[in-house]
Amino acid sequence: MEGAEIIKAAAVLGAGICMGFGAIGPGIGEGFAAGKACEGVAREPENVNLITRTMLIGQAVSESTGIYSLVIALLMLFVIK
Amino acid sequence: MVDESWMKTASLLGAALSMGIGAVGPAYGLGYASSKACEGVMRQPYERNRITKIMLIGQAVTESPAIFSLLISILLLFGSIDNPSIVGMMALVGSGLCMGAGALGPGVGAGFANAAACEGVARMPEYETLILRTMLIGQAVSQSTSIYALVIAFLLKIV
Repeated sequence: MEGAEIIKAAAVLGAGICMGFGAIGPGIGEGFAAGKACEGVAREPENVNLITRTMLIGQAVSESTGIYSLVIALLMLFVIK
Repeated sequence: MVDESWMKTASLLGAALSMGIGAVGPAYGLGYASSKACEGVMRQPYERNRITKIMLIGQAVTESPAIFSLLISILLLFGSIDNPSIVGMMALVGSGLCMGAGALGPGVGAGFANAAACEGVARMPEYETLILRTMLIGQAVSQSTSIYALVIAFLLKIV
């Protein structure tokens, strides 16, 4: 069927766009957090464990949008027929 | 309707998108890190070896999304083309777009972390190992989205 094939084609292109553009934000945001954590360690090295913990919590939250993109991309690849 | 030459066109377009967009982010990040390293060396010329070392370690990590893009690009350029269809065409374009845009963010982010680490070493060279550890943990997490993009790009190319 021509229609079903076009839907599948749009889904695979959409999966690529979804994961690609969805990865931009988390990548920048998490790197920003890591940068500020490095600044913090350089200023107060004795609090390194506290700073690393805060950085990892913040990055985990900021990672969630990247994981949403991954889930939607996988759904588009394998669920939409 | 869709034959071999259309599939080849799609894979060329995908390869160009992957490497073209994918080069932007890491390049910005690498340049930003090296500018901060220059500032650090200007401020503390005697610590130039430590600053250069942390800059190079961080840049190796920042570079990796660009290398993923290159990998996908080469795979799209020289990979085999089987059963031409409109779905296959869109999958090839999508694969390139996914890896290209996916490399943009992690490249910029890892570069920010690297730049701040260079500044930190210039300010407190004796805490180099702690700063290096924090930088590498942060970069590893920020790198994860580019690895998701790589996985999806591989799936689109192969499945």
